[in-house]
Amino acid sequence: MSVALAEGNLLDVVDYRGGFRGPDGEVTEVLAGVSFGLRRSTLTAVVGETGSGKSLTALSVLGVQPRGFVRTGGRMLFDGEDLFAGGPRSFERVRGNRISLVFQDARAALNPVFTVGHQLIDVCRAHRRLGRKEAEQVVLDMLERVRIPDPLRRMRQYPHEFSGGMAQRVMLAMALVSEPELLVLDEPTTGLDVTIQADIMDLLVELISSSGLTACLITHDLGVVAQTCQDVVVMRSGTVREIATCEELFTAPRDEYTRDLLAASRLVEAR
Amino acid sequence: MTSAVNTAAPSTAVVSHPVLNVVGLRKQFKVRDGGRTAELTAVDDVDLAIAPGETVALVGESGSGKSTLARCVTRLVDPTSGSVELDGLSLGQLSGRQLSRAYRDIQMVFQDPRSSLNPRMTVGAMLEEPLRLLGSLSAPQRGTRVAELLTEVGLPADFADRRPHQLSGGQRQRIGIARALAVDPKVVVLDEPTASLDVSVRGQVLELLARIQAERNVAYLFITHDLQVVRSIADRVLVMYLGGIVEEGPTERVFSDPVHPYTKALISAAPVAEWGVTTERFELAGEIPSPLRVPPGCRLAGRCPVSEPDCSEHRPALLPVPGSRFVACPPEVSRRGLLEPDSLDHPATPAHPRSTS
Repeated sequence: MSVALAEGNLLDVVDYRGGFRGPDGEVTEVLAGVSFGLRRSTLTAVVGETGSGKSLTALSVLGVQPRGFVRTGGRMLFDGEDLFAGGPRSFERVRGNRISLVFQDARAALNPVFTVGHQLIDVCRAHRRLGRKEAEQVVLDMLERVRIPDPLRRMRQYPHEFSGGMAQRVMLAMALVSEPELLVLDEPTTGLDVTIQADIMDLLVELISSSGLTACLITHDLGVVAQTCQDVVVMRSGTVREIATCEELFTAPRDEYTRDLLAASRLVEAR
Repeated sequence: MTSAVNTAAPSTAVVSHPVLNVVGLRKQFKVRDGGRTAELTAVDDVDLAIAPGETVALVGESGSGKSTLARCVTRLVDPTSGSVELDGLSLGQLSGRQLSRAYRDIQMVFQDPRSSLNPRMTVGAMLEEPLRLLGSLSAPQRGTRVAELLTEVGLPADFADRRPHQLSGGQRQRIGIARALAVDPKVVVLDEPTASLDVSVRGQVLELLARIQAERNVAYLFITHDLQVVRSIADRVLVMYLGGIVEEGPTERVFSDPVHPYTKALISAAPVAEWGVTTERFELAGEIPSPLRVPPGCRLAGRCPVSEPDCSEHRPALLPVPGSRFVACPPEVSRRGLLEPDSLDHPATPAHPRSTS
């Protein structure tokens, strides 16, 4: 599937290919030419089932790939610059500064032996030239923005004292303290209860729209997509099956696989 | 199923000849809380009845006690008090051989088929084991039965030679189901059987379960947090919060018109995979408290936007409301004029639990 390079996209993934090298030295391709773009100040969903390559693609935006993964082709244009062309250093320059990542399991992603405040201040100071006091204030403000009650007390607590939903808010705060332009969210609400998921997604949508962020949401949940995203990329087996606006995708899906996925997500109607 | 039974326990009143009857079930754990030993009540006085061939879903979020309830029902853990009757036989009084015989009638399918299948055993050996323990079949008969079971769950018979790592997630869950069916149970307790599956596979597994139920008339107790799944498979639904049932009734009625504030919050939070369909959220304050700090009155008091001062005083009972439903929220029931005038004299409501499915 080809996709026109739209002017002004914050990120364009162009014909991205890669795979894993087997014991015989052969590369088994798991990403077979993935192309899509992220419009600025837009929440784009990348949806797919297990093995679709959605997480692999998204993590590649940060230059983070699992061991054994070999890129065999393609470009990753971030704000016009090909991140692959500059080698690992170009990723280091943007990672955490201009592109942030929120992981699936927040409590596993946080360091259990440091307080939450300590970790947030560390991240803040690693990316911004701030003194300790200033960084503390930035972190405190950020915890308020992600609506963590009693943030001053919470900063002194350890990750295990946070519920799953509260820990995910901390992760969001951590991703946002460096004031990134692009936020990549890898299944941020998977494993959370529906009421907590709804709270987190409401917060996300609000943060994105109020700050003009561009965000890429990796998910398998079409319900979440319908309620929050503007653009959708459907992936399967390492290829892009359909790119559409959210409205088009849910009202007039073009690809057969998209239609199957929609039917499977709407169990009740299919009954 | 159609005759009304007048019992003291309202939630068991809609099923007249239950295959599984749980009364007053309570499970407490001793835990360390800040250096002291504390009692954690995971399941608090739950009644639950299932008719043969019926599917009852138990929904609730993390910490609601739904999995503990499932484990008490199958006696994987011993309940602190209360009774579990399986086809008229009280499970709590059984031990040894009698208990293992009773297990023929109640089986469990676990959430994660990767950790609930022995990686060192072949599929055939895993399916044969319960048959061997049953002791009534010869070796060749068992082999035939294993092949039949595989066919029943939609897998080729040569899968008997495979090991779990050679199977996909959906195939593993089919093996979990086949293993539960091997001894021909009357009740299968399914603890989040589709939680780790992709949506397309989820649909196939649910179809399989529905087909098996139609053929065998087996009853399902379906533990899940996936409201889509509940809606598509359950005849009745029980909503659990912090160890207690807060609302119970025929699935479609509960979904289309939830009464309890917690049920409303839960249903309105579930995202719909449709464009332009937005449900207005019914929001609760804060997060679910620790099960060590369950409020003394209504469990939802403190989070509920419609609570009244009296709510934090008394633990509300499940009140019968029209349509074979029960709701543990007196203010909401009376506000909506749902209180049945003679409900205190006749707690039972004649019902057809399957009529809406």
